[in-house]
Amino acid sequence: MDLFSNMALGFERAFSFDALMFCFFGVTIGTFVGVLPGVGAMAAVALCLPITFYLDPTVALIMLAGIFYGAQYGSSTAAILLNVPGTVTAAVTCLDGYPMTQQGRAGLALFVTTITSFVGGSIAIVLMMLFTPAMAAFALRFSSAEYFMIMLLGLIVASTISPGSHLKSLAMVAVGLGLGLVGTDMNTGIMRFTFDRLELADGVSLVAIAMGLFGVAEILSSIGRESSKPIDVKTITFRSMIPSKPEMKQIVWPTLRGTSIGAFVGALPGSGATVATFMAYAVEKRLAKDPSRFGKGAIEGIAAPEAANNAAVQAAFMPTLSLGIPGDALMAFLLGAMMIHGIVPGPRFLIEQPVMFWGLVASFWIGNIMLLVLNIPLIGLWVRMLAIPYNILYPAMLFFICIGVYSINYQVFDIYAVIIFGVLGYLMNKFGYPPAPLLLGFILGPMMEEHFKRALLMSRGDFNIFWERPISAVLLGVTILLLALSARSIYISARRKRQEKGEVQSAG
Amino acid sequence: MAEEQHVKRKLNTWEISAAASVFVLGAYMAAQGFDYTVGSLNHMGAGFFPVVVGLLLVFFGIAIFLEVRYRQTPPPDIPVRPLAALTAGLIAFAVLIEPAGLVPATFFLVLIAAFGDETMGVLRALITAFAIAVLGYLVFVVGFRLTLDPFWW
Repeated sequence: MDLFSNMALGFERAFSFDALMFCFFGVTIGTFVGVLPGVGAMAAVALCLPITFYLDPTVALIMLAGIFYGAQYGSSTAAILLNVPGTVTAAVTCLDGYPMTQQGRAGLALFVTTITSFVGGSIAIVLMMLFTPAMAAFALRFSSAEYFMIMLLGLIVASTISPGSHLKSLAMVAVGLGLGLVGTDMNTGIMRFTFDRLELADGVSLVAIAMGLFGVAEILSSIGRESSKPIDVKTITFRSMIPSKPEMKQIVWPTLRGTSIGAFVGALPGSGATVATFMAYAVEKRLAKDPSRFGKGAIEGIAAPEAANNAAVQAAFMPTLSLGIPGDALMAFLLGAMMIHGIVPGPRFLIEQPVMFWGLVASFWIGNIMLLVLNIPLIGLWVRMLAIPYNILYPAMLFFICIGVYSINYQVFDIYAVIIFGVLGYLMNKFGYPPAPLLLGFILGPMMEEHFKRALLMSRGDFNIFWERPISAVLLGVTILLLALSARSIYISARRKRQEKGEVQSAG
Repeated sequence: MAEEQHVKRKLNTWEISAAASVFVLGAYMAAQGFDYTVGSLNHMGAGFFPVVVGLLLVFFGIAIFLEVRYRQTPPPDIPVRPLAALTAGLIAFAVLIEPAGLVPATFFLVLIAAFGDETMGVLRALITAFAIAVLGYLVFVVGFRLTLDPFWW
């Protein structure tokens, strides 16, 4: 069978010495940044990108991906022990994980999150192996019209399913699209929005934006947060970690449900692990016989979301690699990183780079098993990491940010860009403007412009092309539907608010 | 009646200025876009996308303004100290990296930025700065062989 020969090819690559070593580096760094609150996976991937320039692209991708899914494993640790989420998705794990610690069941919680992460991740990798080639084959029929529509849909999905104001998210997508325009126009050679700075001729540095919005901004909001109390490592014995038989039974179905939600949501373009995690938690709560247990240390409340977020993270590679459409900001960054390495993800990627694709998939297996080892026997090590004071950690991170950004082009300008985006990102967070859609828009923008122009060139300026082609028409329909739903919810919430205020005023 | 309510409610200056920035950015992009030549639909110029994106931003700016103008969210508390220390530290790195080299640039970046935390002592900051500068040199210049001068000589 084709799949087996492909996997053999992949494992051959993934078991080579350099691939194994950098896979290990990747998942270890991932776990490390996942464990530490105030250091996100995005900043870590951005920091390591410059290092990977010297590596073979396959190995580079294996390492960067490893950081990404490794962080999902690590992030639950701080959530459970300290009630501080290491990443956004871990916020859900806090809800029931921390109460478990308070009840003295921290070991069990850590074990369960690791195992469910592994199960969720593994199932999603199998799905990825089965469906990515089919997805790519389907996408080969896409023309520019479909590509434009699917990217547009991705951007709309990403900004309308996030919590908070949809309008603000959409505005951030547009800001990202605008930032993506900076630089030399591919068709005419005109310099757009470069303010006569030579440094901007190739556009704004992706790494500078990511480090600013996700690195510096994160540090700014983490400084001054009360420091965490050191935890007694000795209380987490191996024995305390192993779940009892009834507890095992309790987590089987939530894990599988979480996995399906994660794999499905993760595979959709435009939605990533965050949405999947929140959805999985909500579903478990609804299905539970006694929903009041949730938030007080319900074991299902950590099993399902952890399975979901790892499944989503692995499944998110499907649209990214087969269509070239990232699910969330992190995937978008990975896509950008691949392009810097000269690889163009998309339907042709699988055909042209089979070793890279299957090698990456094989490395997921290896990486997930490494993570199992890193997170169960070695958990004490990570718990001790939590004792590193933040006021030593963040200056070190700033140094990594500076050297990372500077060493890409040796441009001092990029460091100033980091400062600007750092302050901007911090203010955006304060005012409820999410940074993730901005990054998504920035990375997809140039591709969208290209496909839009090409599609209209094909149709000689006739907009009908977008709904005369069946796939494109379906995508357009879904996009419009989503926008309409979003507009409706904005309208309803505005009206409700007005009514509430009216009542308050008439009562007062 | 509705008119009266509008008068009574207080406008949220902070939220409105954020929405206004979106609006202004959009207006600027659209205006610039017209300078880059817009072209026609079957032959779009370099200005077509900037104009579209600019107009979208103008629209979102107005829509956000309508959504948030009476929000009762308190003005965000912006902690000045971390913001100032981090910015100053990063600027120090940017200014020093080329004339002075990696080690001094790192030292001052860490030293200045460390004071963003209120509990930071001078001695501790000095030690941290020294340690990170040395480690950074060892890892990146000796280890990864980045072509960076550690010092100015």
